[in-house]
Amino acid sequence: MPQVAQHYSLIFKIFFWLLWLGGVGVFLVFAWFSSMTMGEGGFGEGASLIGPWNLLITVAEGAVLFISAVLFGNRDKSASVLFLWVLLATVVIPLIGFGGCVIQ
Amino acid sequence: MVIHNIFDVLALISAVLVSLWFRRSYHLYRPVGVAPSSQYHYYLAALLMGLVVGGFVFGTLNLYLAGREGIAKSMLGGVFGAIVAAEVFKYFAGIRHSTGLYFVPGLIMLIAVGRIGCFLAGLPDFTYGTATTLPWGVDFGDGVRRHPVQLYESLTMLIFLVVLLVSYPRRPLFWQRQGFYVFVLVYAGQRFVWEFLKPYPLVLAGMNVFHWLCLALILYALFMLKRSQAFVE
Repeated sequence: MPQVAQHYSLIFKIFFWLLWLGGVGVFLVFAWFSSMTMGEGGFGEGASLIGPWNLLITVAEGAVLFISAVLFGNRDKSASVLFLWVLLATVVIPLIGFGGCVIQ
Repeated sequence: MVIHNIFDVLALISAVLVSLWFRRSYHLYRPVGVAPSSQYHYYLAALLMGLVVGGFVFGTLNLYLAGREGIAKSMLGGVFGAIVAAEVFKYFAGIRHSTGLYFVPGLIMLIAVGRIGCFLAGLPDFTYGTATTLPWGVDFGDGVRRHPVQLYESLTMLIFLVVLLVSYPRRPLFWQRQGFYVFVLVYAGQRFVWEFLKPYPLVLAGMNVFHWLCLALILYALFMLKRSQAFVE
């Protein structure tokens, strides 16, 4: 059955892309963490697990950002679904990424 | 503290799996009273934002009062924030039913498994208990045997999950109408007790921030249980 093209309001479009850009910021932060913890000088005690962890979060963040942008472009998902996708990128993944009960 | 991160992911995965299994087993495809898809999605978004804001605000407040630097997350603060967000959303959406049971099995797993991560993370996680001479006291590396309060909470939540799973098939209507409030009562009640075994700063009347949050949740649960009882009758 063909999907009906969704119409998104201008306010939603602005809101979506602002949150998406926030997700790009998260992506860049974790990419930087990855390079710090997996690159030269980052193989000290504790770096063996934190490096792959940061890389995993970077990849997950990139994937969710890519999917949410594609879904927006395809226009076959409702605004509420897109909103959840972009919240996944800007809130849920960084929340998991920073981990632990205390972030110091 | 990568071990904590790994258990956070395990907690999330187990929460999703148990939640899906429970919903499919008992045909709870959406919270009662939340009808259109878009309303359900925005309801989830509101819960998520409440969880995040509450978690960070109360976790960091407790850390700040303890004189420690950094940012902290608190599951209790998150549950409190999510409940406030849900009640505000439901008020404006005109939803009068209890919608929370849908999330209870997932929340239980999130807490039960997540707390094991807190336990394994040890002293830096700032979730350990006070010193004890009891035989099950745990030395987290500073030579002091402490109450493993993280495991007390984990165990209590798992027991509650067993009670829910055994009792639900016999009394589905009770659990659907009042189950979430029973969960809040049990969760806040046990946390209130465990807070006496934690080295957190006291803010008022010999109680810490989380004691007061627990009291607020207990009062909320009792009020809602009474209200929903009247609704059933």
